[in-house]
Amino acid sequence: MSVQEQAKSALFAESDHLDPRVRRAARSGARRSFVGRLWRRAPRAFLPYLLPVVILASWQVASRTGFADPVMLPAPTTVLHTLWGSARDGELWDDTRASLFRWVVGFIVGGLSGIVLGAAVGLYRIAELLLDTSVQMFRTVPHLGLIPLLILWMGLGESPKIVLVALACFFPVYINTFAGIRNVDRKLIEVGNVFNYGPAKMLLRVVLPGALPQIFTGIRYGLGVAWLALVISELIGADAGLGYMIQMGQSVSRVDIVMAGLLVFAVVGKLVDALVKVAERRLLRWRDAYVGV
Amino acid sequence: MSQSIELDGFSRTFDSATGPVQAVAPTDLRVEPGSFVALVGPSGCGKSTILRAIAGLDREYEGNVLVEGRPVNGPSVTRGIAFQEHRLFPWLTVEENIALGLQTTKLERKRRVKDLLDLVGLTRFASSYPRELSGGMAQRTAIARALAPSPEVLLLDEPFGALDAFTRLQLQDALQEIWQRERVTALLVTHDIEEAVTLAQRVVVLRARPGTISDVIDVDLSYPRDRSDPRLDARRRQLLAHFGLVGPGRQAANG
Repeated sequence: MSVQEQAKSALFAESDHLDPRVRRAARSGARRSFVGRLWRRAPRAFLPYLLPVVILASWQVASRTGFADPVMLPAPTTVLHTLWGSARDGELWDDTRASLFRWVVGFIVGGLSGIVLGAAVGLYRIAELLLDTSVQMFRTVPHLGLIPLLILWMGLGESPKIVLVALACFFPVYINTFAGIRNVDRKLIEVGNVFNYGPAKMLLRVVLPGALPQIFTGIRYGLGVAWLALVISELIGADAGLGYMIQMGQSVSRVDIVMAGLLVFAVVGKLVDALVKVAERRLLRWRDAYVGV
Repeated sequence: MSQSIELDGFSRTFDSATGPVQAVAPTDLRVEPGSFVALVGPSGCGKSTILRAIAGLDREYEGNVLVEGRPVNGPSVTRGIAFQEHRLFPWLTVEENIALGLQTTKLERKRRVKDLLDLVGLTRFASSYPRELSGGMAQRTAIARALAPSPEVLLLDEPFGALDAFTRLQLQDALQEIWQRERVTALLVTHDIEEAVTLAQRVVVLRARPGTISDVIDVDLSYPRDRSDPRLDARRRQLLAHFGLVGPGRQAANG
């Protein structure tokens, strides 16, 4: 056998035991039956919900047996009943729609400016020198403290609420985009240089993909903070929205309405976060990071 | 299909905290078109510095770097380079990584990538991500990526330095085959004497602090080469002797 042939067979000998299908199979454990796999995955699927279920059950029992004051701590079933009533009236949908609208518009405005400014500051030292200090100073202003100012300037309409949401999500997105870009491996940038990439190609094919994991962290965090800012903004002078629903509940001393509003907040927030997580998993499939034991 | 490389009074000085440090003292070197030359030396001898200058990644040198008689003016697709780390883009698959430097039509790109996958023996891993590859496979992908735009010159900066000994030998054999098929001028930087002698037609020995060429050893044997060839052994011994690593007096010399 010539050296050439040996090399060829050695190449394949090395490749053989590393077929990706084999690797994938090895990673997910040996092939199991459907029931076996279900049994194996069951704890992972249900364990995260064990604690909430236990808490809800004890709460239900406490409220129904009179152990807790049913007016101050209405049973979960009462809250659901109130929610159902509100849904039938159509009020729930109006409030949810109003809140979602403010959230989405505010996030698009704030998130996009966060990505654009963060990218500019991350890419260009001159932009960093010009902008970063100002942004960091502005960041220390508690944005909820801006509410009176926003109301004085813009009144009680949609604008102050959207501005508040936009402000809240701007900072996490900005900081993470900036840091994500600065964390891109210099050695990969050099590969772009080797292939004579211009600035646009370098940004789209090296810098942004490299920064994407951290940009996603910023987006998820930003969405969460924006959701909080939204509640606060709606507690003050709104005529629709989930915050308004909670506010109404308080003014008529209906704890069940307050709780129903909070519940919708939590569910919608969790749903949107799950959507972002799905997008994240699809876009960052290539990642080789630690995922926990 | 291949170009000559020439260093003419090339030197490079780096600034350090304690003042300027000369990494490479004025050096002349000529690499014939289509030949395989290895630069060998201990760390700090400036071998990677020379390679980066030829690649166009470093322009802060003095003297001239000429490729096919023309001064190097930044990176070019006519000079492919593979580094010690594979430097694959983790978000692209093997075939997408190989196609990075290709600026041809989609059809042509597909054909070229297919050829290269076959050349480096990774056809079945075309759509794998870098994280699914072994070190050897990743390095082969990196070499394929460097070869994709059909460069005239292939620069290799310790490409097998981070691999285990067994994989390294396999890839050395693969590289011989690749070099013969692609007919490029190959310049390999390595600190592995065995590797240099096995692969190159000419081994340029560098000394450190400051980096200078201290010897040139011709290995005029045909390819593919057999590691057990006694004629390779003679060259190997010659090189080891050069670094004071064989023969009598070695103990004394190393104190």
